[in-house]
Amino acid sequence: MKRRYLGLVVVVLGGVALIGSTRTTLPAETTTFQTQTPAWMPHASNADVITESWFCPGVPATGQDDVNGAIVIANRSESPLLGTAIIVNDRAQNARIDINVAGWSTTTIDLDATLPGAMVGAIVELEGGGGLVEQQALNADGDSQAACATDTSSEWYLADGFTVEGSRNQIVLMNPYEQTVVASLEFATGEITRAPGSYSGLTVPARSVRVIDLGAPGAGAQSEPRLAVQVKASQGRLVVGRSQTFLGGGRLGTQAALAAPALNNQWWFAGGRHDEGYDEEYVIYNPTDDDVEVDAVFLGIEGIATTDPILVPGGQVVAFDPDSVTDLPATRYAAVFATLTGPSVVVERVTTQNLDGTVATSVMLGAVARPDGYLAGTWHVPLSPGAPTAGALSIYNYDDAEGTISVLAVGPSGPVPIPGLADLPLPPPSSVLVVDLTDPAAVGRELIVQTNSRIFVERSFPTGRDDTRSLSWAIPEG
Amino acid sequence: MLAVPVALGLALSAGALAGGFGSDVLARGFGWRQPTALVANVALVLGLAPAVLAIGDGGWHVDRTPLARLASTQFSADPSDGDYRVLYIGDPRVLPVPGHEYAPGIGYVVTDSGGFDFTHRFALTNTSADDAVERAIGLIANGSTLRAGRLLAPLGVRFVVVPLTDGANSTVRDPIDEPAGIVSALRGQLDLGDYQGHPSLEMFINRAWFPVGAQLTGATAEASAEAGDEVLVQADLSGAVASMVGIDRGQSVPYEVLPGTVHIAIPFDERFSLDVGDSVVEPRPGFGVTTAFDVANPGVGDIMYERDSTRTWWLTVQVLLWIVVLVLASGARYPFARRRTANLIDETLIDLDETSAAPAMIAGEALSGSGWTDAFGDDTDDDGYDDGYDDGYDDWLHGDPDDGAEFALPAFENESGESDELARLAMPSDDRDDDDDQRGGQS
Repeated sequence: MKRRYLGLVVVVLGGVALIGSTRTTLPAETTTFQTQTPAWMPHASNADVITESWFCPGVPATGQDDVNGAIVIANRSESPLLGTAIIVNDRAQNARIDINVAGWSTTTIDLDATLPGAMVGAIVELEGGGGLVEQQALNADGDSQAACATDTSSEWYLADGFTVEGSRNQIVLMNPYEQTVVASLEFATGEITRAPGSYSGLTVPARSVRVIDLGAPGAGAQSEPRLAVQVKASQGRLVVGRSQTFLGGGRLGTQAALAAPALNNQWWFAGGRHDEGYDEEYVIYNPTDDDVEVDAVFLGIEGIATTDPILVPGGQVVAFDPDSVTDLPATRYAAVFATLTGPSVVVERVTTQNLDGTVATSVMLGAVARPDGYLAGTWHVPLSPGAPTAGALSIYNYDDAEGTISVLAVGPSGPVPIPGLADLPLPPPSSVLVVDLTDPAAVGRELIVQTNSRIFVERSFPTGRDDTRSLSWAIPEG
Repeated sequence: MLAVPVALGLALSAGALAGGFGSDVLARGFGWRQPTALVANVALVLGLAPAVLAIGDGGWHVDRTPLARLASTQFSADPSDGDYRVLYIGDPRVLPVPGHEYAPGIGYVVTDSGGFDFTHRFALTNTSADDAVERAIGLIANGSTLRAGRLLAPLGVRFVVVPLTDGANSTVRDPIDEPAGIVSALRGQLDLGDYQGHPSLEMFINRAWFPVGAQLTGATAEASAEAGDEVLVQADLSGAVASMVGIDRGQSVPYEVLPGTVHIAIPFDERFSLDVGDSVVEPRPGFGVTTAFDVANPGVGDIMYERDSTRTWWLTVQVLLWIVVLVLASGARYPFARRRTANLIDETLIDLDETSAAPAMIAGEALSGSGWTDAFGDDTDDDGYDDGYDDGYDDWLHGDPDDGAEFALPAFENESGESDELARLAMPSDDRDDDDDQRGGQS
């Protein structure tokens, strides 16, 4: 009798053990496949990847009337850099180019010779990473350059736009994907926000560029001194840039730039010019529904200059003139525009130079810290000017810490300090370090700005028209 | 998962029923056990009622279009396009068929096009192709490439699907969240496009896909000779057209092949060969994982597979082993075994020559007889047998050789000297039948 009960107990326990041992335990919380972080500004990643992708939204490159474009690819390692570049244009034509960049060198793709178009972009994929890619707009009215995007996004923002006196403000939608992207475009002109039906459901074919000229007749935004734009993709992701041609209204020249892939609460500028011959304004766009107060703080000067908070109503774009800051001395300066209401604005600086009658306008998006708060101590310049250039780099030291900073030129044997630019004392937060690239070793090369502090590095490179400059950021490492 | 314990429970129930019938009804008399069993069986039937109602039309109230059925409509096979496969990735609970684990809470499985049947319920062993899929998933997860489509293309993966609801484990009302960031990560891939379909599935189409059986030419053929993910993500895969359609379902027919490479998205196996006219093309690894054939001259090609010569022998051994298992499970015994058992019992348990042997009577009469001597103490279960007899009898009846050897029937006595009933039970069944016949004749 006891044995019978024992057997029963064994059977029951066996069943329980069987169920228990074969039961799959699944996590109660949602598993993470990939941690999502908001897009950052173009950066040189040190991540161990099998391919590194750069997306150049596009520059005018018809090859006619001195309207040319180029893609610059720099190899920041001693090993050959292999990859492919898919050149795309506004007619949805593609050209595939194999890339082989020798160690510590730079190569250039001539866009108008490869695949001419009213707007030509590129998708550059580099095996194993370790490259730098930027696009150059080469135009008789002035050259400009901007780093290509390292992220795609479903939303993009541009604070500045200008269509006065026939100026062209072209929004460049580049689709690097192999399927059509559908996007909508809204713009704000001062106090008015508009979302025309004609800009809703815009299709951008696979691997192509689509150009929306907001200054064109019938486009709905002619003669606007302020024209902020947001682009949102309802299906897929894309890369957005802007090509501006200024023909009057106080602005002249051309500029090709990348839009901001995300809103932020702090926008930094390192190379402000508040002196004779320069006219600046900061354009602040708040595409959210809520009003935002933005504080402008001017740094890199003796003391700190501030203003009353700048009110930017929801959906509106506001311009701020630094001349209104009485404490701002006539010098180079850095600035930060910040709000306490979280990521809600995008800020651009418009600089118009008037040097002995030669006028050139350059628009530059502010820099942001990485979403995790990281600021780079090493910045890269894919290709320095082809001629000695004074005041080519403006460096602001974010940390109030002593140290040294070096500018290295990358040659066939690797990075070497540029004579006179090695181990320079880090500028205190009360000044901006201005670097001249006049040594022959610094001409026409990839450059590395290196320090153990956190810095911002702004480029001021010649436009090709007298000594006017095009402004853009170097590429942070991180 | 519960099939094993359920089957075990059913087997135990069946065994207990048969055993109980043999021991309680045939071997003993009518007692409280029989009505109890009857009540239990009635209760069993009543207990089944809710289950029967729950079954309904057989769907167990599962969604009318569960994932497995839905998938068959979304990914139908179109021979003109060539064979393709579907990669499902997501929470393992919502995968349409059992898959592999990529990480805790994240599973994946690669299926052929078309619908599912019961064979898809069997989990498959890992192959080098699964390793390649897992590597591709890992590269997507850590953001190492935006060209996952190219990594999956040589494996014939045309669609990547993240199941959100399956109508059973995950429903619209009570969905299981997909692994965080998986849809965004897939959407960021340059060669995976959104594919519109049922809202319970996030579907992506692989724009770099080429068929499971494909004719490769130009740069694509050259790329297939190389291995490594870093090579594959840079490869130009545009030079591929469908070939050997049906190879994925084992229905390959001879196909026109051209100079270049014939690719089949099956893990490399040297037993494959490609017959083109009078020549046989040996295989080589394609993209480091699959099977490829370099074709020099055009012709009609036929994929052949040479079976392992020992396979037939192994199958034969397997069949024999099954036969042995079935024989053992059926309880069949050799005649000499029966004789030994009968002789053993006859010799050790009962002495039929004793003069006190009782006249034959049926079990019920024996149990109701008034002349039994209470030689074993209490009968706690009130079945007419003392407890000691119950234990010993059970051991003997169900075969416990050790204990059975120690068991000896008591020297029963009654008023009429009746003691042969137990002896009759101890007889071999044949003998017992004879005995019953004789008794029936007497009555």
